[in-house]
Amino acid sequence: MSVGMPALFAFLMALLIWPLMGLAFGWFSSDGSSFSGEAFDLWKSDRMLQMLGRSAVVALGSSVLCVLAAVGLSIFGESVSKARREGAIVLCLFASLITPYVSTQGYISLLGEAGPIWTWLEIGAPFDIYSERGLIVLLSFSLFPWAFALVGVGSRRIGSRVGETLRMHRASRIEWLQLYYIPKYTVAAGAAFLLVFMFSFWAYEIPSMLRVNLMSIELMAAFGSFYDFRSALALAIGPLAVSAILIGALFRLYTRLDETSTRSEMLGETSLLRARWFQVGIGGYLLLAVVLPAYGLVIEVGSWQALRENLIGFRSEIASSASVGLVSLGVALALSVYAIGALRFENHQRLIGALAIVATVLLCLPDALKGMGAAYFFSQPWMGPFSGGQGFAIGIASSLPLALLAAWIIWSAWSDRQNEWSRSCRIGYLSKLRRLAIPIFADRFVLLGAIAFAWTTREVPSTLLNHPPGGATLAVSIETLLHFEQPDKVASLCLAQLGLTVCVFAVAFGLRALFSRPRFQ
Amino acid sequence: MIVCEGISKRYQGRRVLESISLRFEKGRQYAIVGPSGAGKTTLARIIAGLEKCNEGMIERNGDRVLLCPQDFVVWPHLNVLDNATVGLKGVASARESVAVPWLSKLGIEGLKDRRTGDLSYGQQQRASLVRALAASPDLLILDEPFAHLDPQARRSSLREISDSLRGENVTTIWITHDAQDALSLADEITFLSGGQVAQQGEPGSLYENPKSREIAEFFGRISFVEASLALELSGLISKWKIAGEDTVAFYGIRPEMLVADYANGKGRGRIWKCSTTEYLGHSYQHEIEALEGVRLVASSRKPIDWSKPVSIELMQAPCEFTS
Repeated sequence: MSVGMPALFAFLMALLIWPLMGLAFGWFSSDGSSFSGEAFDLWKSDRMLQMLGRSAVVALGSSVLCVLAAVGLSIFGESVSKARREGAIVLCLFASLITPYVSTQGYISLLGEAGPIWTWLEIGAPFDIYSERGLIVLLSFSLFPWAFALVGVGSRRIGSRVGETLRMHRASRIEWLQLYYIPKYTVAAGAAFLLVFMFSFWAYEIPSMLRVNLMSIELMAAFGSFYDFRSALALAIGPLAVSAILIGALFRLYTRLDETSTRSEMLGETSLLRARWFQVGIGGYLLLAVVLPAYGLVIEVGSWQALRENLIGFRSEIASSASVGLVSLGVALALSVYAIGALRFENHQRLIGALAIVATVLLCLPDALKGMGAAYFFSQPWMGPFSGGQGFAIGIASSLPLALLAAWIIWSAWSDRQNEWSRSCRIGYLSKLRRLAIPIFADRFVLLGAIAFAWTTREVPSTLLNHPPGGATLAVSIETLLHFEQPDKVASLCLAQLGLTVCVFAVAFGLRALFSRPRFQ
Repeated sequence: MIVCEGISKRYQGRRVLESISLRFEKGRQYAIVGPSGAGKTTLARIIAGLEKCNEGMIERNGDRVLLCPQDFVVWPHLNVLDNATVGLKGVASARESVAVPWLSKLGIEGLKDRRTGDLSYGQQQRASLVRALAASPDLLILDEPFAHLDPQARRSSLREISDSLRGENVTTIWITHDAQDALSLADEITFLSGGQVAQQGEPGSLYENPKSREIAEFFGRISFVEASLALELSGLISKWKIAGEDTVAFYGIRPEMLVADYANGKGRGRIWKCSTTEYLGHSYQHEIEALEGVRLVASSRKPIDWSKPVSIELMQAPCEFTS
């Protein structure tokens, strides 16, 4: 592994900066006029400042909503078993992996100006869904699972005894707050807030559908129309600086999370009411985030026959989605297998930390920016066989951060005892991988593959910038059709996308059940 | 008085407690003992109201019950006094006036301004105990208190706390798997086995007249002899008087019941086959083969040279078991 470690480290560092390198190389390759002057001119305009403010307000609103809902539901979740809590998190994450177009189009169909709900109630639409308020609500629906997962997994370990002690001592509400809820949830809620803030600040799909102009749309417009790296970099430089600060803050919080967090314990048997509220909350979310929008789509399409007719012309898009998803799946699996093998088996703690940082930074960077980096590199002739392989570029752009994050999560499940045992047996890297890691983590790899697939096929900005002619995915086709006022076709494609995701997850859960086996403790 | 009537508890279909009925009278100290997994902690949690039972009822009659768990709780960022006053009502000075006397009684008044995170394990546990005592409970349940201290420190701490609780007339339940702690602290002991009450009574009755081999072994080293061999043994061991052999299935003999000494030409001195000798500080314990396949443990104040004739005397009647 002595050669593999520096190589991996160099690779990780390259990953971290490749989107920016792509932009920078693109800029150098254009004419040599003053970039700083151009950026300054751009950012001193009222329009840009207004857009930045609007993006920040929308991100703030959705972050607050997400964190409040996540903490509230996590408090109720203390009353159910760990398995149920984790199951709820997985279900919610599944809902978030369905492209936001599905839920947004569903809500537009249901709650738009001529939505069936208002017709049924015989009232006019009480609010305009095409507004910043509508955007905040829909972004919150889409991003809530991330906040819920982070708060649920990362909340500080305050065992059941603390709650019981406070209950037995008849502690006041203020004491409960001071001695239980604030210590338990503050750090995780802070981290969740920062993560959701960055995700919603750079969100593309939902603002695009609701026609609310945010930074991400401006970034796409600046680059996507003319492939102008210079304008894109000038536009991105300010928000990226803010993102860098937020990512730094996220990591400071994360370090504290890492020191203190494990799963929280049950509070005992006396919180049946809370457990019911938890179930109602999760059920309600899934109903609102998946079932209701899907129902809206079905209403919009009208009939099975109409769905078939609408999808006939989009066979190649369905195939493209599947192929891009499979590339992403392969990249995610290969990289995570390599990373966990190379890092954890040899106890390289610093590299493991670097892995987590790279993964999080890449995850938090806007998809459009990652897409631009990929577009630059994969258009260069020196990429050899990968040059012009845009499908590969899409897969790389989407799956790398996910793969790194997955590798890091899987690493955390690899206990020291397993490491010591494998070392004492003196088995080689490949043997460790084949005989230990893969059998132990097979179920997680399967789930990772499904997530990578769904993550890539749902993504728009990077795919939009990189897809080859005639190789648009379903999500990109939805984005394109949005501008042509064809709601029934959009709804049909959304249903196809939903069906594809559901199928992949159904296969993944089936395989996961097959591979599940008792692990070492 | 707190009364438990017919308490049963099941976890995922597995029976943990079965028809437990107990009464706890004001000011008395009780011990609930038994091997690991007997259901002691579950019973304590049910009495404290932290878990519900599947069957049965608990009459608390408005009494306040507090449980100090083995993995006690202190907030490390708070000082000892703030830890002790959690849950107390009133202004700060009033809360302090309730807690400080208990801090003094448990010997940690001088630490009241120290953060509990900086204290030793024993001091932290005392701080958590002060919180429980300051809340003026009618019944205090102490689950394996000071389990992580060395035996000497644990015993002296337990004695101090027990005396303080007696002084305040607080009904106390000690949950322990240490027989010596139970015997020395409690007025009444309940032995749990397999989720059921196997025996209940004063410490002496459980030690001297255990109802089963399990209980007898729990309270200390004991050798068992089938009743059919008693007649033969009575010929070898001095002062062994056989009575009730019709109903007794086997006898239990503790080491202190059998005293070994050199015969010096008197009594039933003989050469015994001794397999092991253990030095316990205050005495010696010798495992001897009294008959073919029958091993007994005898004690002596002095070391014994087993190559010389030794007489073994039964100092008190052995425990009798009917089954």
